[in-house]
Amino acid sequence: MIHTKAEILLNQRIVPDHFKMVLRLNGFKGKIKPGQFFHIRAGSGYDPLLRRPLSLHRIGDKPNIIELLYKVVGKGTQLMSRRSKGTYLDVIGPLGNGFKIEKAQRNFIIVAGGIGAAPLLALCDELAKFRKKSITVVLGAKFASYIVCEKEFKDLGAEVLIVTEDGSEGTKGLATDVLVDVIKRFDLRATTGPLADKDTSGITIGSYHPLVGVYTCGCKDMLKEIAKICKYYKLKAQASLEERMGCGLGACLGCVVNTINGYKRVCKDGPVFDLSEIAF
Amino acid sequence: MDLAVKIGKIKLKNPIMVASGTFGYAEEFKDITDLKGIGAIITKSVTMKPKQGNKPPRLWETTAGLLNSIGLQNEGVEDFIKNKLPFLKSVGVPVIVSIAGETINEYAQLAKKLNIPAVSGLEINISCPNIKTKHRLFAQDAKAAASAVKAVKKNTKKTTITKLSPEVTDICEIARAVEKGGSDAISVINTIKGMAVDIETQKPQLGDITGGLSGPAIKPVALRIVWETTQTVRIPVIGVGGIMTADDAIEFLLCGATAVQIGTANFLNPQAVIAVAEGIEAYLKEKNLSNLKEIVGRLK
Ligand SMILES: Cc1cc2nc3c(=O)[nH]c(=O)nc-3n(C[C@H](O)[C@H](O)[C@H](O)COP(=O)(O)O)c2cc1C
Ligand code: FES
Repeated sequence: MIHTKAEILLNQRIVPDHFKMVLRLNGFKGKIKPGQFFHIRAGSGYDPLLRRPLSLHRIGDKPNIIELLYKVVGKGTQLMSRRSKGTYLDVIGPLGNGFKIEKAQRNFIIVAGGIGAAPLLALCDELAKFRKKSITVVLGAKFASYIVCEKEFKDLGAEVLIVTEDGSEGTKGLATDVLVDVIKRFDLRATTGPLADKDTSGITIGSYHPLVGVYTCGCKDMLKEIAKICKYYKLKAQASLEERMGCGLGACLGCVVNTINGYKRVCKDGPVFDLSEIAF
Repeated sequence: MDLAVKIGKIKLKNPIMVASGTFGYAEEFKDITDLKGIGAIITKSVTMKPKQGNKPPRLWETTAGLLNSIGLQNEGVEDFIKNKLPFLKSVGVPVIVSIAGETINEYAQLAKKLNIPAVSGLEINISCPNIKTKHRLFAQDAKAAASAVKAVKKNTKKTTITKLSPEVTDICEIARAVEKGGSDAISVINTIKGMAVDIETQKPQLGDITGGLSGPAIKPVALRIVWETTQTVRIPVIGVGGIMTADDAIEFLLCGATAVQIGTANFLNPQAVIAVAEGIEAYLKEKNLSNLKEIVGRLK
């Protein structure tokens, strides 16, 4: 983890309201895991007051160059969108735990709800390195012009299924409906076999499917639905959660999410959680 | 340049502390903050029993302010001593443990449990607005406030700082009561209760409906209370509330604060304490002064 001035190498609108930013983290030498985030001060004033957490979208050409993908939703992201190339942002990171990549899995299902695609591309970069695997990305968006990263996922060899709420492109409906169709393609008999598995929290949930894994990021309602679906089909699912943050360092306890093991800090114990652990 | 100050028996190399609840137990900041540059570390408030805190969401930003409704989440004093105190001790700066009780007796017990060498002093938090009680806060009743202080003093020889609430009719009455009760210092202010509403969902922005306001928005209130209380009590007054820069801190010192605490600013800049200390030093130099005491209470 480092606290540094990061030079903006690029800050570009890619589709309406969505921006890609490339930063060089001066002095950073470590590794960044998909699912980790950066806590960024968008301006220098007191409105907005706090930093904004933004997930790693992709590692750039060098280990200290990162790409972020963000949607303009409030004052902080609006300020960020106006920053020009060559100026500097105050950045703390990388923070949080990142996705746990399960080495035994071979069939990856990625479900992205809108800007939730941001951390999932970095994850897909890692998953693409697996041999003998399949990656299916369910890319959900409000309408066609809000679809992001379709080409990037395809370039990594993933099958991309587009879903829009208004049907302006791909399937009309919700990403979760398409998820069920994707899940049904797999041989789910394995899940009812003799595989007594344990999840990370040490609680026996029964046997998970050993090969199929679900990875997601998006709004709470979507995650809740995916949790239900994955519980039903006994699929391991990890989600990157979003919560308002203060310190970003695990100190203020402002970012907690309710889990079956009590309140946990999204910034430090997450942002990636096993979906089965979240108490929606 | 001499920035050293004394609060009770505690010697601080500079007058800048980190405020309770905004710096965890210091370990969280160790990678990005020069911890040794902090005057004193005030811990997150500890309670007798573990406390799970309030329902999320717990934070909401307002114009130049922050509402929080954490609700004193912590693992309890036993866990604190076992798992948090060793690191705090290793930092090598005074450790002031913030204690919060639900009853006078709990304050007494907390003081007793914390009679350990690694603890330099206690901040008696009688002013957290995020706790549901049937009656008023201890800090809103002169008698109750004094009783909490007395209960602590009876069980410790350590320096005590009593943290007061701005939400009272007469802050000087409360300040006098805790001074009489034996408090070695007061810190003002804790957060101011507020709320915010999401007009789309028509629900409160915070899970607990109300929360405590901190940050630049409350600075004028904190400053006024520092000024009023320093006119009234003889014990040191520690200024807290909206201090983001050295200039802010200097305003508090000029109004009579012996020392200051930095809270919300730690979230914006984990090196805020260091920056404020350097800024105060630069100010003294510029004014041709060599000692911090030459500005404390020198409001013209
Ligand atoms: C997230 C958060 C948690 C806090 N927790 C505590 C606490 O546990 N005990 C306490 O006495 N004050 C607590 N406070 C209040 C601060 O110590 C301080 O009095 C207040 O934030 C005003 O200072 P500031 O404007 O510099 O933040 C908390 C404040 C914040 C923002
Ligand atoms: S943002 Fe402070 S604990 Fe997570």
